[in-house]
Order: sequence, then C-alpha cells, then structure tokens
Amino acid sequence: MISLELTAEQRDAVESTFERCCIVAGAAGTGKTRVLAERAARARSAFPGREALAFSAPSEIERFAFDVLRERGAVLNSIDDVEASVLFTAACAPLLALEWDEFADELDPEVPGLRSPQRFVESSFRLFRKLRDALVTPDEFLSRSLSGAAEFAAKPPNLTDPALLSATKHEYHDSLDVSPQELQRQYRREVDLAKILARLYERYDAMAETAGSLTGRDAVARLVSALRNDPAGAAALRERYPVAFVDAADDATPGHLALLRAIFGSDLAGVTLAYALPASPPANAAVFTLRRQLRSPLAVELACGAVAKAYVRPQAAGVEPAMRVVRVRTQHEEAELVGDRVRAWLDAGSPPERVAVVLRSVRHAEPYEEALLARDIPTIARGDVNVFADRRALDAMALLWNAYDPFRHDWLLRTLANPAFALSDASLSTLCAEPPHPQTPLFLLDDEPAPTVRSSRWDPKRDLRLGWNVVRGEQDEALTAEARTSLERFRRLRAGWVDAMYAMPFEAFVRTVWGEGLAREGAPGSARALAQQAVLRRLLARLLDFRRRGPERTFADVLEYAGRRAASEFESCEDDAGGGFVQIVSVEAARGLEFDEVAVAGVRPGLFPRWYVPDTFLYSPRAGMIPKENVGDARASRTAKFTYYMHRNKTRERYNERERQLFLDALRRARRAVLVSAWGPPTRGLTAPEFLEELRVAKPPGTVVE
Amino acid sequence: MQGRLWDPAEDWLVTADSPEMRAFVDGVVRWCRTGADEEIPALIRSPHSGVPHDVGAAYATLANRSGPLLDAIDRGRLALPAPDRDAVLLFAERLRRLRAFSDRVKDEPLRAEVERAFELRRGADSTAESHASEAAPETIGLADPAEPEAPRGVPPRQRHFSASALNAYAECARKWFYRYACAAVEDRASAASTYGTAFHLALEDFHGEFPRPSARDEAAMRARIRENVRWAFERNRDGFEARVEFELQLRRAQRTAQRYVDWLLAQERDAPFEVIGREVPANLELDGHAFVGFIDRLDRDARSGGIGVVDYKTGSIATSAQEYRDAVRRFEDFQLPFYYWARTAEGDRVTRLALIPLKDALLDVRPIVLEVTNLPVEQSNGNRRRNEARGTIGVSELERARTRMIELAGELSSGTVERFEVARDPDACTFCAYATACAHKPAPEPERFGR
Repeated sequence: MISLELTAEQRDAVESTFERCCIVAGAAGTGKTRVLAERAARARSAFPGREALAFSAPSEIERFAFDVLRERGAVLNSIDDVEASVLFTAACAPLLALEWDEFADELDPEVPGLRSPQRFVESSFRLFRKLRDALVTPDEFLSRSLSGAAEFAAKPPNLTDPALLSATKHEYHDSLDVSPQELQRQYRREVDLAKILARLYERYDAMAETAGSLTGRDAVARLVSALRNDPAGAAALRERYPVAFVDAADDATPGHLALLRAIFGSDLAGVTLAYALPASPPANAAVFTLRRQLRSPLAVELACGAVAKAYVRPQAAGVEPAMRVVRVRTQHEEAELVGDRVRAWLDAGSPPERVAVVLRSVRHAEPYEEALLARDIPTIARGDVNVFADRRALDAMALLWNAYDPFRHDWLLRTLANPAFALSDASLSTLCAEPPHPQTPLFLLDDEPAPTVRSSRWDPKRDLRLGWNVVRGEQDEALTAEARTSLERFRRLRAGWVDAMYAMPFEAFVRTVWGEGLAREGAPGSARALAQQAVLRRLLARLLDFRRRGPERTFADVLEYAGRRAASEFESCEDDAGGGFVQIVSVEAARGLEFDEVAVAGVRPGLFPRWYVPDTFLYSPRAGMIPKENVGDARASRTAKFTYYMHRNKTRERYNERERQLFLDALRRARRAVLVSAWGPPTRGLTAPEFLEELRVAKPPGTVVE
Repeated sequence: MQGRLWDPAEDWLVTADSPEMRAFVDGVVRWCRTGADEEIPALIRSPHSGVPHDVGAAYATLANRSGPLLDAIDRGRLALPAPDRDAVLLFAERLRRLRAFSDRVKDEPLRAEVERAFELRRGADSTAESHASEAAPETIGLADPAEPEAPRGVPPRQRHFSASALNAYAECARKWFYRYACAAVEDRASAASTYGTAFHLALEDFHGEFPRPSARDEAAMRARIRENVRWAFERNRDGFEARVEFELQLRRAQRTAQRYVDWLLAQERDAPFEVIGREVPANLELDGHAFVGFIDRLDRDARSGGIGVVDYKTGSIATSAQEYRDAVRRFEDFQLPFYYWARTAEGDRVTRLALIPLKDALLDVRPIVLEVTNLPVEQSNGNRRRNEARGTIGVSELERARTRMIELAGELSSGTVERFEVARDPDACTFCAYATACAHKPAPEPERFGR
C-alpha cells in the first residue's frame, strides 16, 4: 500500500514498473530514499516469497558480493583498504629491493615516483583501487597503457596550441617545450612505468588470492568475473532477487554497476537507482526527477540555486531567513563563531544530535571541536576521522605501550606528562639523565665501542636510560617529593599491568590500565568527559574487533595494528556515538543524514573546496598512463603528456564541479537553518571556487550576509 | 631420528594455551628452521621466554643496534642482576639446543620439544574474552587527574650550543626540550638526511682535490665528482631503506653534482675563488657560552681576498636572498650569522654568506648569496630585490643575531625555564621525531589538497 503522504512525483516513481530500470533523480532532501523504501514495499507484494536486494549505499553491494562468493564455496577473508595496503606493500618488496630479473636488461627502475618508495607505494595503491573499481585487469591496464603511450609518442598533439599554453600555469610551460628526442625519452619512461605497475598489480592479486584476503572492490570484481562465466549462476541470482534498490547511486563504481548488470542484464531491468546528480541512465530506463524540496527551507534552496548557477531570482517576497553567511579573520574566530551559533541552537531547544557542523573533511577538526567543548557541548567527529590518531586515543595507547615496552621512550614521556601523573618538564628531564650513582651500569663493558651498526652521533645508552630509571627507580633521589610519589605510583601500577597483561582477558586488561593510568578530561559528566568516553569506546571497540577477528593475534600485534591504523590515510569512522552529541561530520559521511541546524564551516579554497592536485599516476582507458613526474635526464618537472592531459580533460574543472555538488549537499542536510562560514580574505576564485563569496554576491532571498 | 631433548619434568609451569604461547612456539620453530635474527626480539619479549618482561624488552631494544641478539647475550651486553642474567643465558641456551636438534625432526615433534624445553604446559586461556551474558559496562572508568607537579626550572645539561640547536628552539621549544634536555628518543636519519650527509661528504672530498675550479680541469672534475658521489653514497648506503631508493637517489645526486660543476665553471669565469677550508670547525665563545659547529666550505675570493662562508643545502631552503635574510631577522635561522662571527673571531674578513641548493637535479645551481655590508638595514631592503638570489646583509643585522644567540644560550643554560611550549605552527610537527611524546602539539593543518 502506497503512503498517501507522497508527493505526486514521488508517487509516479513508486508506482512505475519493475520491468525496467528505474532512475530516481533529485537533489538531497527531495525524498529519493522514501521512494526507494516505498518501491521496496511494493516489491514485497509484487514478488511474494522472493527477496529484494536493497542497498542504502553502493558500498553494501560489496558485502553482498562477499556473501554470494561464500555461498558459492569461496573461503574468503574480508579486509579493508588499510589491511590491503599492508598486503600491497609486501607485494612491492621485491621491486623496492630491485630483485626483479627484468632490471638486468629490460627495465630501468628510474620511473616516475620510485625515487621515494613510500610515496610510490601509496600512489600505486590508490591507482590500483581505481583500476579495480573500474574492473580493469592487469593485462588490460598494460595493454591500454602501452597503446596509449605509443599513440602519444607517435602522434603528439600540438603542444604549442595557444589555448593549451594559456590554460597552463607559467611554471609548467617548460613541460610543453619538448623535442622529439625528449618525447621519446619520456615515452620509454612511461612504458617502463606501465610494465612495473602492471607487474605489481598482478603480484598483489596473486598474494591476495593466496591469502584469501579480498577488499570489497576485489570481491565485486571477482563475482562479476564469475557470473560472466556462469550465466546459470547469474540467472539463479536473478530468480532469487527479482529487484534491487540502490540509494546514493552517485557513489556506485563501474564495478558495482557491472555486478548489477551481471545479474539483471545490461538494461538493469528491475533495478531502481537513486541519484542526486544527473546520471547517464541505461537505455529503456524510466527516469523520474524529483524537484520538490521536502527537507530544506526555501532560503536554503534558493541559496543552492545560486551556487549551482541555476538560479533565477524569484519574485519571492518574505522568504524566511534561514541562511547566514559569515566571514571572519582567523580560524580561531571562525571556530568561536560556530561554537556560539551551535550553543544558541541548543539553547533554543534543538537536541544535540539534531545539530551538525559539516566540514569537507573532519580529519583535522580540532579547532571546531575545541570551540564546542569549551561551551560544554558534547561533540564527536564522524566521517574520515582517524580514531587511532586522536590525541585522547594516543594517550590511551601510550599506557598499553608503557606496559609492554618501557623503552619506547616516546610513549613513556607522553604518559609521565599526562594529567594522571603530571610530572613537570624538570622531572622529565631529570628522569632522562644518567643517575649520579647507578646501581648497575647499562652495559657491562662501558668502555667497549658503542653497539651500533651504523654511524650515528646517538649514544645507544639513551635507548635504555629513561626506561630503566623509571622501572628501577635509579633517579628517584633526584626528584622532588611530589614527583617521586607520582612516579612510584606509576611504577606500582605498571608492575600490576605487566602481571595482568598475559593473565587477564584483553578487554578487562585494557579497562584496568586505562582506569588506573588515564585521567578523565573535564568534570564528571561534562562535555569533555563525554567526548573522551566516546573516543575511548570507539578505540576499545576497534581493538577488540581486531582481536576477535584473529584468534592468533598477540598483544604486540594489537599495538602494531593501532600504529598502522594511526598512520593510514584510509581510516574512517561512521559511528554516531549513540546520540547526545553534536556531530562534526565530513560532507561525504553526511550524505543521507538530516539535521535541524547545520553549520557548514571552513568554506574557503584549500578547505572546502580543497585545491585540486592531480595524483602521481593518472590513467585513462584511451590515453593509458599519464605520469606526472618527469624523471631521468629531464629539465622540466612534469611530463608533456600530463600537462596536455590536464588541459584536454579539464580535470580540475571536473574536480571543482564535484566539490560544488558536495557543498550543495552539505547545505541541504538542514531542515531549519544553515550557517556558512569561512575565515581569511577571499581568493579570486580562479583555481578553486569561492562558494561563500558566490553566496555573498548573489544574496538570495532568505540569506543574511554578515 | 626423532627424540627428546629433555625428560618430562614434573613441575612444569602450567601455561595457558593463549595466542602468546602459540606465537612463541611458532616463532621458535621458524627460527630453528631459518636462523633469522629478526625472530629473536619477539621471542625474548614473550611471556613464555623465561626472561623477565622488562629484561626481554631491554634486549629487544638493544637488538636494533647490536646485530645478532644471541651474540649480544653471550657477551652479556646488558648489565643485569644475576637472576636476570641467568634467565637470559638460559633462554639463549634453550634456543641453540633446539636449533641443533631441529634438523632431525619435523615441525610437530619440534613444537612439542619447544614446549618441553621452555616448560610450557597447555591449559585454559585466561586471557580469552568471556562469553558470559554480562556485557562490559558502557562507561570506561578513568582516573582522577593528579595535582600537577609544581613547575621548576629544567636543569641545564648542555655544555655548548650549535646553530641547529638554536634553530630547533626557535622552531619549537618543546622539540628542543625533547632533543637536548631529554635526549631519550632518537631522531633517526631519514633518506633525505642521508642524501644530504652523503652529498656533503662527496663535496668535501671533491674540493680537497679541486680547491680552485678551472675550465682546464673540467673533464677531470666531472669524472672525479662522479667517483666522490658514488663513494660517499656507498658509505651511507644503510641510511636508505630500500635498494631502489639508494640507486635512484644516487642518480639524482650524480646529476646534481654535474650541475654543481657547471656552476663552479661559471663561477670561475665570473668571480674566481679558492676553497680554503672544508668541514671547518667553528668554535666560538660568546659571553661565556660555547658555540660549536662545522662550516661546509670556506672560500677566498681571488680578486678581493674576502672570505665566503658556504653552506650546502640538500633540502628545501629560502628561494631568495631576502627570504633568508628575513629568517635571520626573525631569529629563525642562526647558522650563517654564527659562522660569520666564528670566522671573524678567527681573523677572517668575511664578505659573503652563501647557501648552495643541491636538492633539485632539474634546476641549475643558483646559490643564495648575502654580501656582508656596513650599509644601514633599510638600504638593503626593497621589493625590487624580493626574488633575487643575491642580496646584502648588514653587519648590524648579524650583530642582532649574535645578541639573540647569547640571550637564548643564557636562557637555556640558566635552569630557569620551567615549561617548554609547543610551536604554534603545525608545520614544525610534520617530520618531528617527538610527535608521539608530545601530547599538546598544535592541531595539524587540514588537508588542503584533494585528488
């Protein structure tokens, strides 16, 4: 039964046939998810006894791929990108050690990026993720790369085209001033790069296969391949699942869509896809565009129109103000402004979980978080936040490290200065010093040459001195009475932790250590205390999950795991901490969420939108590899192909357009009011748009510019 | 033949069949099969090694520098109380006996022997998570904050100061504290710093042979610097983590070195000079404070006889003379002012301070040069010269830098600084070796670039 509360355009979409692909298009807040839910309900009636595939985000298709592969008998271990990057790093080891036979004659390792191995590995991994998302196999990658390289070298485009020159920054003009010989040289470097990358890609696949470890995108690729070779298996899935619903389909990769096609056929009959952005529908698809805004106030919608450049100033009189646009001088001032506004929203009756601060990225949201906590507003970050790198999580990890290894002096210094022990700088320095009368020397033969395998001015005694002083108490006499009391307490607690480390269940042990060695932030029940609890719960949950997923994992493995995660660019956390918190949320994680009031902060080029910087390796099916860095006997830092490609494909423009859509998406998270803020003087908006200035200039009805 | 090393003992330790135990037994078996030294630190740390926890951790730490850990144990490298020493020796002995035994048995019997040798006995795993219905409490109990210790002055430890120490202090006082007042965490050499070390070494050798660059010697200079660079990099090979990095950084250095020769030859035409010192010790006492350092190169101008102080830079540096001079004025860089005063104290007439960028093999070498003048500061300013590589610096500015060096040295050696604050600029934390120790570092810059 279809709800009577649907709008006419929603109802049309809900009632459309399941025989064809159905595209539901509309901006955030137009009720696409509602349409999908109603269509799913209709499908249950239309296909009694059968199941529907319902994905609230395309990433869920990956979980489905795992399920199907396992049903088909595969024994698989699901890993995420952080773990996959570790596997990939292992796959790169023979390359970095120059152990490949090809380096003897066929290949020159001097290819773009490889001079800095860690960056090369990271860039390659990012490339392979994209290739896998697009279902490009290693063979296909190599073949297209070689043909793309040959084509560019054989028939280079006009590199003196005035349009190309004028669109290229002056500092990169030298990359276009190339002789045929230089182009040939760049061609050879490109070919070697493609061969190296293709081989790495193959090797990574082989290692993942051996380990039975797949990421979600790997699972999708494998299932697509399996179903293409098994029409009966695909038909069985179609029989079991006659319909599928995919929300937020803008995020669907070619691999996701290919899997749907493998099951539902090339015209995706039976599949309903919801898009916020214009999409290219399959032939025969029924497209329903939802235009009526159901969530955001008119003022926000008019502002979105202005930023989308689709704005025709309406004769709208008396639009209720719901948008505020403010630019201040410094980031601190902006964070204060956001804090004050959020405080006012809460004081006016909004529950904390109905208020959000939306940022392009929450990886470095501390200024905003601090401003909210200072106003006793419980807050938690959500999205691309790295819980392992959070200051509070690091304090907690430090204690676990202290129990395991007192000679990790960096963690020990962190703990001894933390508020639970609160030693002064003078005491820390004293504890690091040689005791005047050590009970035992550090090394048995102090006159022996320093045990070091490489030349260094570092005295290896320093590796142990602080740890022994703390554990053995050899500098206690040099401390003040209060420092000594504090240190003795730490020593006593630590001795208990060492005993408990291998005797207690892991969770109980961690709780014990934190309970004794980690000080509460703020007063009990305060926003700071609540936020600290939320971070620690997240951390503990992740550590426990790691242990549960690997019964062979040791305590040292846990510490190493946390360190790896803290350093990874792929970490994220979508957990909302269970309510009661104002959320600081990244714009991508905010998709599908709605709040009463939203502050979209840091709206300035370099933050939102970010400056576009092309990755080290670009790939296009037609042009093949497009390496950025020009290596070897080069004079220009960039390759000619890269500079040309950037211009021809208008890569930056496309990137900026996507950022614009994300900004609109952020505004439309609000049901009642939006604050848009920025700090610092505006740029001219030439290389990245100035959304806030666009609003300031347009002054749409209902927007107050302060 | 398969057999047993030890008779079953009656009083074996009852040990849980835990992940730690399985990891230990697996590790011993792996080591018996491969003899790989890198297995041993994890083994000695294990609660099943028989070695006291902290002693195991100390030896594992030592292993980063000592080479084969069992050898270090044999030599009693760490001074330990007798029971601890005995435990460590027993650990080593057990491992060796197992290894000697291992080639006669397959893995499973060997595992059993490991358990016997280390007196392990399987039992219930007390570390296993409880599956009882009682869930862990939602709230994580935490301690109350302690009363902070009353601050007092950090006792001075340094007997001398260097320009880099003062630069570090100017960049971040907390960094200085960790590096010089605590010195408990090593700032390990990176590939970039190793590149710099090797390049400096190569040029030191090169100018030993070619103090007066000359076009006549071009071929010899080019050949020799190639050899110098190769030799210097080979000596520093350990500083590069990967072989490919070593090979490609070496190629980069070779190209840069050839550009350096290009520059020498051009310089010889325009302003000939003679290298009169390489790695010259710079020792200077200012107001009772000892300053020490080494000057990469000292030149004498062939025409004027003036002395030039030269510093090689293989990392990012100021791109103009004005930018560098501004850093001196802001008391962010003391290196060249210190060298100036050190050489002046030695009786040299220093007329030129130069930074030679040797980072980018793509670019021509374009030194940043400051001519030392007696002109008032204002006359050497001006937008007209903002981007130029050559500029001037007044003696008065160098005097201000010297005054500030004395002030800082006085401050740091006074024992009155109670708290070393973190930098406000998060850039200072990017490659900081003490970032883990530093709980109050500034919030990092947001990521400004998207792909």
